Amino acid sequence: MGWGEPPFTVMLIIPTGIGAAIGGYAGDALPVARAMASVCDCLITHPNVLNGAQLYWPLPQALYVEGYGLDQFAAGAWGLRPVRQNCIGLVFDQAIEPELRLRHLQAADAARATLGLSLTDAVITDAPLGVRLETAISGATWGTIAHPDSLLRAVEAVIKREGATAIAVVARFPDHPESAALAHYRQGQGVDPLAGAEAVISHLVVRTFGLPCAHAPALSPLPITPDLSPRAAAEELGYTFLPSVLAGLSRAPQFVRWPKTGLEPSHLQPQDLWRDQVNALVVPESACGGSAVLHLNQTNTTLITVAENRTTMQADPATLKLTTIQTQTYLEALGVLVALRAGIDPITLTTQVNPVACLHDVSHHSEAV
Amino acid sequence: MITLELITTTVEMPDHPTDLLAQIQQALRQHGEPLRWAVTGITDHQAQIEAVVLQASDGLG
Repeated sequence: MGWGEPPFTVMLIIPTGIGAAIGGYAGDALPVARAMASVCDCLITHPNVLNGAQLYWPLPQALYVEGYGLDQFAAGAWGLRPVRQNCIGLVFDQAIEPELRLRHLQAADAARATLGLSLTDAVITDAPLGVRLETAISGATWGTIAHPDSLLRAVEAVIKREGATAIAVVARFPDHPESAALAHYRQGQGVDPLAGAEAVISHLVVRTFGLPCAHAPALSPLPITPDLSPRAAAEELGYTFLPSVLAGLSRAPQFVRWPKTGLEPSHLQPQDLWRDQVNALVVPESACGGSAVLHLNQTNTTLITVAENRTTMQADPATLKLTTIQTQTYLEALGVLVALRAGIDPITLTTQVNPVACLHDVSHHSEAV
Repeated sequence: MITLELITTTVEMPDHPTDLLAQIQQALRQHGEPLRWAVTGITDHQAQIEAVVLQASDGLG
């Protein structure tokens, strides 16, 4: 940073459950996040981008922000407060079988002993959560749970009894090892059949308690296949998806819900981030119809779209009448970010620099009013 | 007691793009409290929206 320059802050969004060609699988957008983190001072992104099941990468300048929190931040309702460490509360679905639950407890043990993370004892929900998977007309996967109240009671318990400041939920997801959707996913095609339901679970917790949250599905191990796509491989290395969730939650920023919580401005801290500090937002070109994009379109944030990252959505900036910088690839988008950070108009790095025109005489301006 | 429901709805595309957000939020509130939503496509000036909404019978914060 130059003297007196504010930090260059970028938001990277790749919605889960929409079949994104990059980021729709097992943390396969993590290289994009790593590259972007190297050209900005602060990268705000979400679990779908940073979670690679057993794999993750520590990015000191990245903020791990769950999707509902991201939407509230983009709406200007919530701020982000960086922390050194969260105490992660573990919530397990009652429907998880004892042996699979033990695998998850051992993953938590490993995170504590090998990574030094702060974890609570696990709380088990008082009813099976009853995860339901659905695919909508758009091709996006969604989902719900049959007993959301049970989830919320367990989260409340882990907060009040165990002092958790971030929540890791592990819900039992249905096993369909022979399903066509799963077969496609394992080949790096199609849409993650679990993703939509996962997002709803964590959204519900963040909405209700205002704490960072992320979800890891509990599933039976799959039989080995020689046709496993590299993009899906990270989810088949072990028995759980929990390690990356715990790593992310350990430093996920707390939410500052002001002014609705009645906090005084003096309670705000210098390191708090608000949406007007976001310099650029990078999203897939066909997925511009989400809450965060539409909110940030109303600010000074530069929207950058990436055409190569195709999704099942058909919400492009032209039909939504959004002003964006359109790029073909993340490599190109990175170049745009470098230019923006340097204070350079990206168009001046191309052959398409038009002369400055004189539009009209000031004395005739009133005719247009 | 709360329930989660997947819904679909449409919203007429406004003349001013800045009005779209408010129209979407108003349309979704008729079904419950939106938890997650997205415009999935636009056809004939109609924005298709998919969402999961909360339908609560008590005052969860």
